Amino acid sequence: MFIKGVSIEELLSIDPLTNSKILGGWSGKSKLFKKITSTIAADAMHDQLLIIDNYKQNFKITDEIIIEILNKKVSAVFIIGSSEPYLPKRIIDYTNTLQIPIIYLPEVKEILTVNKTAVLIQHLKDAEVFLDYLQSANDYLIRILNEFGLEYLISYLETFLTTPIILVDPFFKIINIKNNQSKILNQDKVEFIKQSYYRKINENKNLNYQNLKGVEKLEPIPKDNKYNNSFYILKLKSGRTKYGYLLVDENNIKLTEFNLILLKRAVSPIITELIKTDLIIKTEKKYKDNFIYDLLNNNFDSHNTIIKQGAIWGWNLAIPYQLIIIELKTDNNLGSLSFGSVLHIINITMSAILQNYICIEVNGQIIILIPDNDENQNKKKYIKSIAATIQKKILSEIKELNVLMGIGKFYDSPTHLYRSYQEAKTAIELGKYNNNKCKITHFEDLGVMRLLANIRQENLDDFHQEYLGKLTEVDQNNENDLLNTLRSFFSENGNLKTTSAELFIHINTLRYRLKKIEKILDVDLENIEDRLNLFVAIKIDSLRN
Amino acid sequence: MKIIPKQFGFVIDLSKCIGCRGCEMACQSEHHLFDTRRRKIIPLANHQESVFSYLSMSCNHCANPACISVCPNRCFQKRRDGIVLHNPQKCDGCKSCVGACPFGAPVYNQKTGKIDKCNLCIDRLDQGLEPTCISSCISKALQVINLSDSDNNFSKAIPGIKMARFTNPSVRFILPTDTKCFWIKD
Repeated sequence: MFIKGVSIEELLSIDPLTNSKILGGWSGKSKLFKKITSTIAADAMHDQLLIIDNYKQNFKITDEIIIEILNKKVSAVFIIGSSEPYLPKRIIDYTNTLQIPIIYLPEVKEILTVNKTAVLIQHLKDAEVFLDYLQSANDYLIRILNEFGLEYLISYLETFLTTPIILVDPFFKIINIKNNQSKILNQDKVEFIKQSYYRKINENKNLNYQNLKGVEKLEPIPKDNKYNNSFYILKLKSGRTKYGYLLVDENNIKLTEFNLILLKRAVSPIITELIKTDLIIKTEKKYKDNFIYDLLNNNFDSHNTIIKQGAIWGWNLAIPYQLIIIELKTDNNLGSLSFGSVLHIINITMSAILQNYICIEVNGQIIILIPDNDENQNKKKYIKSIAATIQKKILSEIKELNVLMGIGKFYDSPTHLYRSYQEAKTAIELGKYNNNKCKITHFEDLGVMRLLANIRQENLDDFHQEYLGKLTEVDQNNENDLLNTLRSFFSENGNLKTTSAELFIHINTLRYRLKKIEKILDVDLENIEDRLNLFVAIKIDSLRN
Repeated sequence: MKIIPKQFGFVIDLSKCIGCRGCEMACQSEHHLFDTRRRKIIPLANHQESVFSYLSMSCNHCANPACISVCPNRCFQKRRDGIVLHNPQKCDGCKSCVGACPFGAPVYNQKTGKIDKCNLCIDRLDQGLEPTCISSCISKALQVINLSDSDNNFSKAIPGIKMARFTNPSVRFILPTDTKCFWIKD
């Protein structure tokens, strides 16, 4: 079609040309052009839009060429290509003087795209609907979103397209369905789509890419599934951040290109809404995090303040809580996804046990606050059973993890939760030195370690030196390992058979070593007092190392 | 939910500390202390008992401070920047914290009958100044950094020196290197 007159600013207001970079001469934005060309003519080029196609022509845009083009009085110069051209200041000044816009279009791959857009605008202008078109591009979707919210917008699209649509977050958690029953019904379907999608990504074949703005990938999943439907996945992505997916069920109706364009229009408003929601959640979380931090670090003066602030987040802090700390160790670096998975497992496990618990992550440790039930006569037994359930569940799902758990003492008011927190942290740290195979340490189970932790370092050093000094000296001078022998002897409860097995030595070698230790330290390992003193000294040694 | 709080902590460069006690004096002067000291200089000796460096120690503002949980009067609190504060107004001088701290950071002040300990000069920090021990260190052996936001390579322990770790002290070390000899040509 013949272009009667389209301005540069009009051309750049329509997708896919909206993503453009103005390099210079923007004051000439209202200049009209009637022809689009990629050839530099010998004569003047009035009313012509010249496109330099670097994908095809691949010549170096020199300053001389630009000046030559500008001198031909073109309406504008568009440059398409994989890299943005560099224009020196004198060229930019010159183009500004001549008022000839030079535009770089990073997303346009061929000249035909510019031509098609110009023709579309000409059509719209001829029908006198260009401005209406511009205004209504996705204005009505934004209006729906502002007035009725995201859930309504999705249901509007469902009605319009006559097919079910599910909005999920980047982890495929359903966002748009609030009704619990519907959520459960759809969760299975979403899980299936997720698995199929990831499988397809891993296979990295048969991917049907469609380059739509805001929709990076549009991929039908094959019909060989129990739902007997095809699904489309629209990735909701802005920049490098992924905000979720729109899962579109074809429902025996073939989605036309027109339908897909309608969906494409909804993508930007939905992303904007998700960004907004995400910001609100983050802000709320920040305040929540600070409150919990202050609660666990004795930064509140009165119980009333704690109750009032807790009520904002829906927590009843008028009642006492028990506290568990979970520390995760693994040979590999624990990625955020694994940490998220553990939190997910904990939340599922805890929801099955009781409501109103609080679960947070502080400094790489997971903290669970469990409301105390007055009926629990044995608080310690109750909290340890919950800890064991959680630990069992985590290990059944992620076997390679080492899950250490510390539990603080029970206090009858949340004002003392900070004590419980510090005690639980101490329980985890000191529990590492205890012979605790199940790795759940209650502060009250620390035994003598708890006393040792509260004794001055100098006194501990003196005690250690007094009872183990000679043995350490002999070990250093003779490169022996008598201290380790003694440590294993105590950790195996004085059982010669298991100790020798632990140390991979013959039982007679162990007997010889123990005799040697008795001789060096001038003690009798059968004597309960000597045993106690040496046991304490060994514990101090663990603490010091 | 995820919390990554700030954690201020000391970095001690063992190759620079000359044991001049400047930090100790500056601290005493800043906080008007006479017989009590919040900061102490400890000579570090190796197996041959020759001093190889000095350790300037005060409260380590531990990640798991033992003092907080033992105080019956709730005198201790840990701020969001990790600084462990002691409120003398609540303190009755029971010394529970003195026994609990493995580093001997809380000290009993005979004059006031209360406990006293390093508060990382929070008044100075709030004004954008360095703690007085840091600014007075002539060899620049002491620093205060945020341990949470830096993937630092500082050492958590000094080889050969026994130190309690269960409170997770917020102190890091730059270990001493071998002495280098430079000859000046005439």
